[in-house]
Amino acid sequence: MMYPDDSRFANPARQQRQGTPGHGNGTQILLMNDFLVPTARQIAEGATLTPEDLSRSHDRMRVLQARQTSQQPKLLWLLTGPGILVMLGENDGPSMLSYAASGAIYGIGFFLPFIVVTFLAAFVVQEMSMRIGAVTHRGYGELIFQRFGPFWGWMSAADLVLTNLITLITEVIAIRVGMAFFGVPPLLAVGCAVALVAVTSSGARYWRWERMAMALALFNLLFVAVAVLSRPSPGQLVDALLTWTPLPTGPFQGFLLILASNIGATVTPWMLFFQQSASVDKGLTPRDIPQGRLDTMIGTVPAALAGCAALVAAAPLFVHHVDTGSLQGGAGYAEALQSLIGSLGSSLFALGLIEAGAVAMLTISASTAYAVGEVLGGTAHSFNRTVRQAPLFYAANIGMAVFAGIIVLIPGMPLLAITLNANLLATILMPAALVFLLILANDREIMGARVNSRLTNIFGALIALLVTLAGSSYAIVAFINSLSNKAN
Amino acid sequence: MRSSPSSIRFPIRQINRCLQMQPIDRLSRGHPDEELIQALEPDQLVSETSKPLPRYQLNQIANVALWLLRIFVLLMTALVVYAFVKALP
Repeated sequence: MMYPDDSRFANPARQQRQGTPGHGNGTQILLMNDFLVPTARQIAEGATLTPEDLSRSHDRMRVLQARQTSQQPKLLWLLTGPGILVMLGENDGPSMLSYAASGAIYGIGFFLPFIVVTFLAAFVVQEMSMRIGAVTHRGYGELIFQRFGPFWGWMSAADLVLTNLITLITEVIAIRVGMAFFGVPPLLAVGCAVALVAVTSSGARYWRWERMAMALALFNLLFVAVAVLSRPSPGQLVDALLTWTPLPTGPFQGFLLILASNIGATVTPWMLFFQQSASVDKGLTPRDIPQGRLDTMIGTVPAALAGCAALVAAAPLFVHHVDTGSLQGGAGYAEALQSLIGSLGSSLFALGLIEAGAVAMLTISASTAYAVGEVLGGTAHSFNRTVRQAPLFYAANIGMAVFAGIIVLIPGMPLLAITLNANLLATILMPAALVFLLILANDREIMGARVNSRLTNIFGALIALLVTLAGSSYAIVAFINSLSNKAN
Repeated sequence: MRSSPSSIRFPIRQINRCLQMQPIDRLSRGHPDEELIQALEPDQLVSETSKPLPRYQLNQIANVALWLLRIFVLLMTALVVYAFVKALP
């Protein structure tokens, strides 16, 4: 007996591995209480239990209990997490600075609705990621490695590690400049950032790590308070959202940089790796896909709100013709806003920047750790393991944070330039990751009936095209300009 | 093999007891009660997810397209890195 729409037994790959129910090859699987149970014989034939399985089964028990007693709010509470974290985690230091730069350079106009559209694009992409994780129980890196071979697996992992390392550096920069606004010395600020990653991942339980990160992520909404303090005109906001005007003016390269940075601020490779792996670590199953989708949507709404709020909060700089060239290091925005929206607003902006960097440090270093564990194969990669059981996972998780911290403390590092280009690099590398995601989401052999719908494929292809065009346009224009500057 | 419905529903006490043990104890006591893992799908077990999936059969056109995309991405990255280095003070 099986679910009529359950893809797990509709795909040959799984039947080959698990045996078809009822075909007497020793892996008979019975349906009990609405879920599939491995038999004692299956366990006896090699399905060994690990502490990770036990921890996950504990979480799953609560989900099943909530589902059986029809406690929908509790069920949603238990199944939310990866979607909220990935969306609010992506509102990181460079992203918030990118949105703020959009408001400070171009005001409230074209980029306000554009940010909303980029978040809708992020929802489409992240929903695919969650669905693949829930159906296959494997991370993105793991699937690329197994389905397309080591070459593409290593290339994807290299893209991820490169973008994550640079992004992590910018997160530490955000925390450093945010804390500098309150007079905290750089060494202490960086130490706090690294300690946060170490402390939150020390519980050996995914659930605990996730809830701590989610609690921290809620402070992303500080940017909404800053936006309110900047007293925007409601009519102007509605007009911008409906008409996409006023259109940006000024140098084309600058416009392309902001455009590509805003795309890179919402759709990035680490998000694919993170949400898929976190969904697996959390133990999502195909039955949880509706809740997973809702989780992603719940994350998208406040994240889009906070992103738009950062733009609106910095718009007074555009109105007062403040030169933004010297502000993009981060703390400059908070200081420049002080005289325009008051010290409370500027302090909240600096606090928001610290929070944005802190949450992203947790999620991005986690995504790196998951990817390292997945591509190395046979290595434990779960927050449900202790440090002793998964040393490589925790070493990658904390090691990346330590490395980023050291880079930020090196005197003379071009921190401002790194911050500006971090999102851009994500935009450039994203098309390759998106194409693999689309192939996986349409792979009937592993997804069965839960492959993409035609509409999702159309949106996915459009997003891949938009990201490719934005990234390559900036790359070509910036290259030509740098050549002409050299000639001059 | 089917357990009685009352015993398979929510054996949280058993799970808690099991989680409190040292990992080595848990794993060295032979086969754990299947009730402990009934909340997980069979292919959710670590022992199952560590088995590799078969390779995807990419046709030649798809293979060439992936290579072209990879070359394009590397080229764009090189352009951005060049512009980035040139823009440094």
